[in-house]
Amino acid sequence: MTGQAVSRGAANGAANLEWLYATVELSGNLTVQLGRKRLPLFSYSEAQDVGYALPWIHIPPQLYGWEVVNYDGGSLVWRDQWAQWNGTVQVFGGSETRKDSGFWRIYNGRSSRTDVRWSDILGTEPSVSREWFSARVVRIQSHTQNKLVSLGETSFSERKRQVIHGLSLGADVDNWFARGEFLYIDRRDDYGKDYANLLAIGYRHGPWQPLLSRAIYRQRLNSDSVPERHGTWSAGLRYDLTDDSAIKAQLDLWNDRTAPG
Amino acid sequence: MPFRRKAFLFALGALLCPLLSHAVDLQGLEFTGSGFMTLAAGRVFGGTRDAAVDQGFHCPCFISDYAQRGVYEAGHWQPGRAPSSACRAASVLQMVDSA
Repeated sequence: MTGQAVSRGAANGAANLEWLYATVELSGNLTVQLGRKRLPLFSYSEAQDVGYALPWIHIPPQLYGWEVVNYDGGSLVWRDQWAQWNGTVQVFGGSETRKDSGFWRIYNGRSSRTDVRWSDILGTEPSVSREWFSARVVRIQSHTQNKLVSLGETSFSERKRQVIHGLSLGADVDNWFARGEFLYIDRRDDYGKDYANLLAIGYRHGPWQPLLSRAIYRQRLNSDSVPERHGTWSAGLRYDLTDDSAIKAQLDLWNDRTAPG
Repeated sequence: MPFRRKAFLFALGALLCPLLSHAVDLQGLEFTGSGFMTLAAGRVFGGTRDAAVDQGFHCPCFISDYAQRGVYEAGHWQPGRAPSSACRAASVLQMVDSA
């Protein structure tokens, strides 16, 4: 049995307990985890705060930007090997209430306060890898609710159902590496659909690691409102100083093609 | 004609991993601590803006992390916006079979 606690501090000096969970190994292949964990929305979700593990300084926000990133609940993980394939299947469930969501401050206003709740979270995440290739898919369903506290709302909005679908592909061939991630969120019960994708290619040459990536986000709305649509080109360069430290530089170009409201 | 907003962000980061890693054996319980830190700074070098959607931020600006309200604003170098500047500490407590 293993327990793990992860806290996170940021530039403002605040520290937040992000993860707190216990792991019990039921057999050589099967483990169960209970507590507070990172929601596996994306392939880099678990490493999102660990800059050393990422090829970017910050992950492209078109894909890696959502209102909820953790959950309280449990997961069951099965790991096995078939011929030359390594495989993992995770099923998980729980809920999350995020007070004063940073995501909604960007949309509702810098001084606003919005609380968010995802309930009845149920998901599965199978993944496989073999030599230079890796792939994962994820499906998560939940109900979502918001409460705009700064406007005086005292109770959460009506529950709306959402279904999240994700596909991640990775390739590492000699010094080259490439990543592709695709996200589709069905929120037709609320406002419409979200689409996001990320393509990246990099090259390892000794301690140097240049990288180029392109990320796009777009919406399709139920109503005639103006859908959000933007993309970012990112060019980065990483230099490994030692085995456990590195320095990076990154240039981003954000192009917002959202029509005026 | 669609509105086009652009932002150019240049960011520098130094990444340290791990800050510390230490294991303590406490009568069958093994405690391990470790940490990671990113020090970063960025600057928006230019772009266009629309006051109607600035939402109180000094734009042209660059959203680096929606979940943590990470926004680089125009005009000057800024310390990294999460998660580009963050410290993460992990503690692991494990039951050890002493047989």
